Amino acid sequence: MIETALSVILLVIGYLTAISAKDVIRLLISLELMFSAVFLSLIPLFSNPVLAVDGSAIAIVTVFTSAGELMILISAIIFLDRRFRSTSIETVAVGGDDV
Amino acid sequence: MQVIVVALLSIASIIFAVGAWLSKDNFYSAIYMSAVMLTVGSIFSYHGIHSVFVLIAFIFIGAIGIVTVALAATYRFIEPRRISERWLLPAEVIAVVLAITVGANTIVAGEFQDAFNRILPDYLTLVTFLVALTVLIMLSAISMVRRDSG
Repeated sequence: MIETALSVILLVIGYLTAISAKDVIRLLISLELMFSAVFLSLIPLFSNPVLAVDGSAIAIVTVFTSAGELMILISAIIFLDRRFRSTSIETVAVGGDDV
Repeated sequence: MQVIVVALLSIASIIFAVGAWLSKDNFYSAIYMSAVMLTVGSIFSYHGIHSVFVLIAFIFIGAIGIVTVALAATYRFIEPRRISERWLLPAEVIAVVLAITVGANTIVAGEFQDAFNRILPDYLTLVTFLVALTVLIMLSAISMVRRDSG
């Protein structure tokens, strides 16, 4: 099925965008790419008459949850810029590992 | 015919995603990302799953996408990316192998159908959800502005 294959490819491109990012805006864009991959992986559920209802419920919950996460991340980016006057990932000093 | 349309939309989606990855300008990257969302929503729409297309179009492209484009236009931050060439080839090989494996083993049971009306049969519930979400977002925005100004 083309849609699930596309989902995997979009997920990998999202990962590559995230690991090559130098500012948090690009991280936000990579997250949205990954969420689009998640939405595509739901398509096979809609081909089964029994699972179509579950697919719709999962799609609603996924869309609203991911939209809330992205809104929180956008607020965090604005606060990061107000505090450090930069959106570079070098200014984020909490969490993660040194590569 | 259906396979051809979905394949064309998939190719367009991959091209836009690669554009979002390789673009040096955050603004164009956000535009490409919105185009990826649009192609993903188009695939849903082509299969007749219009409810998910509306959710993606209104919430992700209309709200989150526009805010991301505006944010990216504010912080364009043109700077060379940090891509390790050593990891590019293994990542691409793994992506292709995973995509072929997952795509070949996904079961399609029958015709695609939208079941949104079986979850929320009345629009009053949906309107209540939207009003509650809007009020919550507005309250948090007002709270942030008051805390920041005080």
